[in-house]
Amino acid sequence: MKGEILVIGEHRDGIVDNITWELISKGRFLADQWGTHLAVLAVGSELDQLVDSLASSGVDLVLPVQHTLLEKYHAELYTTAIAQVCEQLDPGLVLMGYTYLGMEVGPALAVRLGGTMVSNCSELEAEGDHLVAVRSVFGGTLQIKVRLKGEQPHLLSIVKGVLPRDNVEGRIAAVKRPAVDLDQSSLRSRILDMLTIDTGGIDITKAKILVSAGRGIGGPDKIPMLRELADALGGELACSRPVADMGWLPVAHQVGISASTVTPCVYIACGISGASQHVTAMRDSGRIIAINKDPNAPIFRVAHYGIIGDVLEVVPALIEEAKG
Amino acid sequence: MNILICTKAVPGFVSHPSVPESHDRVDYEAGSIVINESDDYALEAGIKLAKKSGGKAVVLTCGSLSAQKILQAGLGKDADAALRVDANLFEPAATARALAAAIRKQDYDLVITGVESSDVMAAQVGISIAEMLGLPFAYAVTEIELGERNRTIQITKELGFGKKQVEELDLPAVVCFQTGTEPPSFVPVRKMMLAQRKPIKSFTLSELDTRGQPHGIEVVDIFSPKETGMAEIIEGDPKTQASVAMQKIREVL
Repeated sequence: MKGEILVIGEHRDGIVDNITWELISKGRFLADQWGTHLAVLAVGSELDQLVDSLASSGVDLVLPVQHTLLEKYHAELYTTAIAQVCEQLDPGLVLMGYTYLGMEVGPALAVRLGGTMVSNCSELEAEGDHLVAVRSVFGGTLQIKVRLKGEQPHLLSIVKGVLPRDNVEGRIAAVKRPAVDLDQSSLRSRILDMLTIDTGGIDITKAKILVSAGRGIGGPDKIPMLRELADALGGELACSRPVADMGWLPVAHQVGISASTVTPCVYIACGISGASQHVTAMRDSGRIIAINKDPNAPIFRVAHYGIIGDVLEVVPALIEEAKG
Repeated sequence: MNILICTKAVPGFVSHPSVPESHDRVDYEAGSIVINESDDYALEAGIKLAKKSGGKAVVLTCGSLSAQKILQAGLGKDADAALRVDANLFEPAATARALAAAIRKQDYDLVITGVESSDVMAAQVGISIAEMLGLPFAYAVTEIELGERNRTIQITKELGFGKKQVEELDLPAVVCFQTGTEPPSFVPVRKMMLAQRKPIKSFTLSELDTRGQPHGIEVVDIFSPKETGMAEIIEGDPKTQASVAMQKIREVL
């Protein structure tokens, strides 16, 4: 492994996203192990607010990639800008989130830089000069360990919320503003509009208790039963993506990286297998109780308590307990 | 507008997983072979759009002979032709290279893939194909509409956190389709039987000049993630389980 380590930072509404702190913690550890430097980049049109917090986060270098054309997320422009920064810095390792940005820009970046990418990783460590990553396969029922041996840079996208976030001692990083050359006239894609999901007044992010329905409940006719449990507990109904896709519940109830991220005191996952897109958006809940027939369901890896059984038997018993 | 739809045959259920000595893939026994879920949505959207624009829809996959089943399902859904790259590749970059090479030989305006396969779960192939072909791309697309004179498309894509972006892409382009609210249709048995008699063209990696490309990753091990952390299981009959669970709920309220 040679070269520096670069974290692709993410931010929303002027706040650095948690995935970035998680990547920086891991990046710092690896950089110290390898005796190299750690840099973080952030893309946008107005980044001054972020630079200070990034500079005191344990990195050696902050790279604000600032340009008027980078105000809104634009996949083509972001890819070009990040690729240009990578060409200047020539990092050996690029860390990013397995987020919408990492999924859309990451593979394009890997091809453009001629590097080797491993996506959707949950663990990452150095084994001598090599990087070894652990990632889910087969719907999350199994995991594989892979060793990166292809061309550098090595690009890894990491699932949000799985790496520990360490507080790093107060070193102050250098700030360097890389020049990027962007040309609007050569763009092959144009942003026409931004949309926000219409929630119809429902805000599952505020609920203290969520009773969440997955495909495993069997059908929309089981929703009233879950609603009864939610009502008995004074909570709200939530659901996984397939349940919203199939129209069993409106999308306002959907928990997942595409919809809402939730952190209730109690999250009761009913018939939810635990796809990473769902788990990422609820794993920080205070207490997670999962009910699923399949003992291998990935949801049992994030749940604090698990009931291996039939939702149709367990939920009525829970309703009785809650009312009792 | 001619549309190529990339699909993948994935196992419905996996048993006896192992890593072969070559360390370049995972071996397993598949309980069944199905079309990957988001690819099924991509297929449905692609065929519909091709018909609407008066063009052709071609369904393709990279896989062994057993993967032909999903191509036949595509033909049963009225795709005009089917193509298979005859290779069993594990690494997303290798799959993307093979598919991109096959796509280069076609006459197309738009390539549609699913967002992520349920077996390898890398979400890399679609965007990699776009970049290898030097085309504009969009990920997590939920809607596609034809633009003026079939030279552009207008897509809606997810950005996360309940946000979506509407974007216009010049053609040719590559879009990765997300599962959505319109469920894919079933192929009637009779149509499926007719589809099974249609020819399916296949390419080898040598024919595509992509054989012998170096592997970027080495599979070291495959294991059940149970070993890395597991919920405390509440045992007993449903009534006992509910009573214990309620205790655990009340503890934190």
